[in-house]
Amino acid sequence: MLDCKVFEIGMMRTGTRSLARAAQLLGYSAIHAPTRKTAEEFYQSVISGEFAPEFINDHQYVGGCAAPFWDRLLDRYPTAKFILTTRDKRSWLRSCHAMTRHTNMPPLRELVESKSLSVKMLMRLLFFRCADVNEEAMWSAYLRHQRSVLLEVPTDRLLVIDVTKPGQWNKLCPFLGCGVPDWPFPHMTSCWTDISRQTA
Amino acid sequence: MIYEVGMGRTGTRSLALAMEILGYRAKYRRTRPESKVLRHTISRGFPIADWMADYDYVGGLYMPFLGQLAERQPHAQLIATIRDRTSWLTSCRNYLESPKHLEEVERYEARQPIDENLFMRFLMFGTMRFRATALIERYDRYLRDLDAMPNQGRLLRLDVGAGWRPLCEFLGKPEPEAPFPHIQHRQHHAQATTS
Repeated sequence: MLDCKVFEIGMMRTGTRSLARAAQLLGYSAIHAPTRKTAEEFYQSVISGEFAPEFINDHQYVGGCAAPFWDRLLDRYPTAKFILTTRDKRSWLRSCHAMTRHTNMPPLRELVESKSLSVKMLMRLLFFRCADVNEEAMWSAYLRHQRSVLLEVPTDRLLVIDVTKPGQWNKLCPFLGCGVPDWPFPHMTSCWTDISRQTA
Repeated sequence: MIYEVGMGRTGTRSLALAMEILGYRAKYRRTRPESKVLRHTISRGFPIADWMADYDYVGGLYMPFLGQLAERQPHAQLIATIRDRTSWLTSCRNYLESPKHLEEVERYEARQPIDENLFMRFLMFGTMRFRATALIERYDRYLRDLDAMPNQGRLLRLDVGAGWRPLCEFLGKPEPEAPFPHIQHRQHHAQATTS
């Protein structure tokens, strides 16, 4: 039942962490981001443009880090399924703002100019295509990503899901071919949201 | 306004020169003092600068931003320089394995400030290293993006080896007598490294 490979290919800040947790609850060996151990391998695979780190083969569900490389995964894993997480514009942009405002992470622009452009930062640039929080550029990147995925991923291999809305087990489980559990759909509040709530 | 949206190492510099010969006020991104545009591009997510108003043609900047450009400038003419994969790949190897590039990557790896040119190159080629498979995948992706663009009539796919005719037909200009400019990439890069 759980033998199929799944890639979550949604934009950053669209509930990808919650979805990875949901996959785990369904029995998938799921990974949301590279671990400390695999970070260097991941980094090398990103800057070499190959995106073939070993660890993505060690898990059935790979989320959080695969989205910028979705088109290559589509060809490389011809039987894999893909999940595109979506979120409405306002709350997505709000979440993106919160991410840069309420973390220890300085704005990306400073990181580009400083000595600590980490994997995370590189991923953010790949997702958002800009260093500052520029709503127009970010939302345009969001829309273009969505459009390309909808255009090119065959519909029988693609699930589009908004985990901020109720009833998501009923979409996810039939797509993955498993039964619907009776526990609630997980909702992982990110550290950024927590902090923004404390300071609000 | 005309924008060049070609991939690196496909004759984009030569095209900028050709446009000058045709009488256009043409700008290629690397020429000073406007190189600041790269820094702004990274921060804003789109290349835009005041000086562009003084030009009819801008090259070397827009390939990684093709989607956004197409939306923002729905009527502008776009020129995508293309080149056969084998010779393009050879040129990529010369470029991405040049001492200058490798030095920039090394500096970046050592967590020095990232060079804007290096970052632009990463957005364009999708890699900081010479990796044939990744490059070819990137190039094919780019060609698919070109095909998916609406309003194909405003887009010219140009092999700069084909001379003046296709370019002049697209622009509606007579063919000049001067030979089509051809900048030797390797030579140019070697000069840039030593200067």
